[in-house]
Amino acid sequence: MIERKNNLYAWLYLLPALILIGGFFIYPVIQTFRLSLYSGLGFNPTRFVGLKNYVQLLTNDKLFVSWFPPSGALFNNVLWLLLYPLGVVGTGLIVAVLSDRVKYEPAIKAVIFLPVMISATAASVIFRFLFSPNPVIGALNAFLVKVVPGFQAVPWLGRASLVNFATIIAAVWIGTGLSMTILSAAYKSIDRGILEAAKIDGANGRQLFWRISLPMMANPISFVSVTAIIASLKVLDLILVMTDGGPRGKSRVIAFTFYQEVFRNHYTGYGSAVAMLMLLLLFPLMVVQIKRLKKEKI
Amino acid sequence: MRKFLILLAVFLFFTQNFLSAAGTGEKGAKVDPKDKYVSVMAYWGGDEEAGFREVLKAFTAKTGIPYIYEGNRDMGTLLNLRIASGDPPDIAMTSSPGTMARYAKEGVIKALDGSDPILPKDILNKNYSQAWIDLGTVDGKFYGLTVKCNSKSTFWYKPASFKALGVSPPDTFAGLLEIADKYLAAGKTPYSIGGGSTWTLTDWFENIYVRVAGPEKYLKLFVTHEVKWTDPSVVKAFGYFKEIVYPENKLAGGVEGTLSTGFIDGFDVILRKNPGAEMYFEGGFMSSFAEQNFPKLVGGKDYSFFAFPEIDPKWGKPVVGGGDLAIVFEDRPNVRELIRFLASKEANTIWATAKKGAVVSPNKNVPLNVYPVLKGLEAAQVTQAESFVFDGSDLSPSAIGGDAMRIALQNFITDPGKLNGILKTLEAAAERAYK
Repeated sequence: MIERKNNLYAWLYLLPALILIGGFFIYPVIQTFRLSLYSGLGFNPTRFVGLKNYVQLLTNDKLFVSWFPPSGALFNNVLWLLLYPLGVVGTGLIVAVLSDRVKYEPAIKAVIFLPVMISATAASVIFRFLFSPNPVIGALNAFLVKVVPGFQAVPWLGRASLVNFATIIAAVWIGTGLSMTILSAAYKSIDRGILEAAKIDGANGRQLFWRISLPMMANPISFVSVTAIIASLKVLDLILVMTDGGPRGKSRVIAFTFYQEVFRNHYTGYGSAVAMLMLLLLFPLMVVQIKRLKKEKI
Repeated sequence: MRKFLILLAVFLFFTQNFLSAAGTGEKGAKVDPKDKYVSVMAYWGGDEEAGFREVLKAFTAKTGIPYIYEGNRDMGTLLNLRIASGDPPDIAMTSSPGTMARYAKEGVIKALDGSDPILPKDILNKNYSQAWIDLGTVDGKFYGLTVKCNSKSTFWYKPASFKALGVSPPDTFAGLLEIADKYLAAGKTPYSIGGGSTWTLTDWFENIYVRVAGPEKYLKLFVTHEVKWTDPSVVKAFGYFKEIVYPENKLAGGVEGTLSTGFIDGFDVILRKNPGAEMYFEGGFMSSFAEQNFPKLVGGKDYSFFAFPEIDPKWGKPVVGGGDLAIVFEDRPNVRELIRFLASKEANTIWATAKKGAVVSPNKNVPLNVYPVLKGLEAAQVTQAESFVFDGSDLSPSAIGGDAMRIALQNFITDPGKLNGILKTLEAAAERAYK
């Protein structure tokens, strides 16, 4: 009897969370899946087409995915997935560790952290200027033209082979601040006694870092990595402002395709199929993240 | 509990009052002796609204007929609702000839040239060239009076640069190509294209296509898709476009520079001190950017435009652009008065010289000297146009005009040799979009 009452209370306490999850996650997902089976314009498409949207998306939409040679939004996102977390964690870690050794640490950190407070839209505009092919506007080209003899201005955002790297660099610039802060805190919380002991035992700087500091920061690093991976799969605003998916659609990613199809082309069903694929890719990451949050502290 | 109910009642009372007060916020909307007022609905706000109100005020001053202006940015939805509930405005302004045609076919708007015409033929013919009468005509009846318009067939150049090269604005496409060659020979780059803003490329194509295939086929390509993207006329038009963009040394920054340059930057390229190119093509509205970015340069002197040149003498120089058409839902004497006034030289001159929101008027009797120089050139172009077509990419489904067509044009500029494949992909997208 007592147990049943407890059960009831448990459910009662869970209710608000369940309502929120149900209303804002599960229901929309079901609805999106339903939409993805229809074709037509607007949010009330009427033509049921089954899995045709998925087939079209994966076999006949070169802008989304072209399997051989691999290109399209899906593979661009793979590039993001590989490079963005690497960039954010790598630079964050380097800054966190190196700045710990200098006096003006707070100043360095403040500068690196600054971009976090700028909206992605504004940052994208900054980078658009920076990357402009016109040396009068584009600082990067102006610099290279001055410094490297015979250098021809490069249209960083107009060349299909460069554009994804250019956008990723911009994203890393924005994202490093936060990862640096988290990793720096982790680095500082390492017990100095352990490092001292290792030093006395004859470990050099490199060994200290790779054998002691890094393993002791494993948790925060994996937290930052997973967050970055999720961010790389969801990236949209930056691309929208910096390149609008161009040139020739070569910088599109999954979220961009979703936005383009639903809100610009009004292909709600088709766009929903894109969203479902995105969710499918994100789902394992969410599970990993939640599991980790459950058992470990950051 | 009782206290709560009383509070609730008081609260509801006030919110009700507040809401209804907000609902009647628009000037004079409380009075509703319908036949006394003329009501006009448009999507204009800000300066655009101010300019139109000057015209309406002059109308009231002249005739004593009061007006109600309803401005709503999301007018399309509202207008449909009002029509459905049997309470449309007397006159509405639409920027879409397609919407006008639909209303005409549904019979919800009045033909202006009936047996007892709302707008007598002689007023219309006296003030408008055939292009504008054609634009407002659906199935042989005249429904839409164009009240303002703009041109996207304006080719920007620098008179001093042309003079130095020893050329004058070209009349034909061949003439344009000659000028480009002369620029190349003189070590200069002829064109700047803001191909990063992909819609500039669609404007290029539209101007070429309507000159190659004529207005009728143009509408069949963009509106009804009776002409396929693989049609020989489309291939032909792309052939002309190739003459502009290939080889890439004709373009400021080459292909990649073109694809990463926005439409304002593209214009800046020809206007700045060390210009990257000499000519730029985009609509008449570019002058406002030049004024802001280069306040020292004088429009009409340091930079000006000529009409996008002729390709086939059969079609001449049609104007591609946009405009707003007045359509009439109620036929009453007061409404007739306003429509006739809107078609007059008087009203159009007021509008063209409004302090805020001055327009380019399609009325051919508005003296061109009332405009600032460049607006006057634009007005001359639109009032004398043999034919006027709306921006085709705006008329087509957004998946085409806003997406597939733009990608196709960017791909074409990158590699003109792949035209067949590009058009096949575009046609496949069109088949999906027009279904």
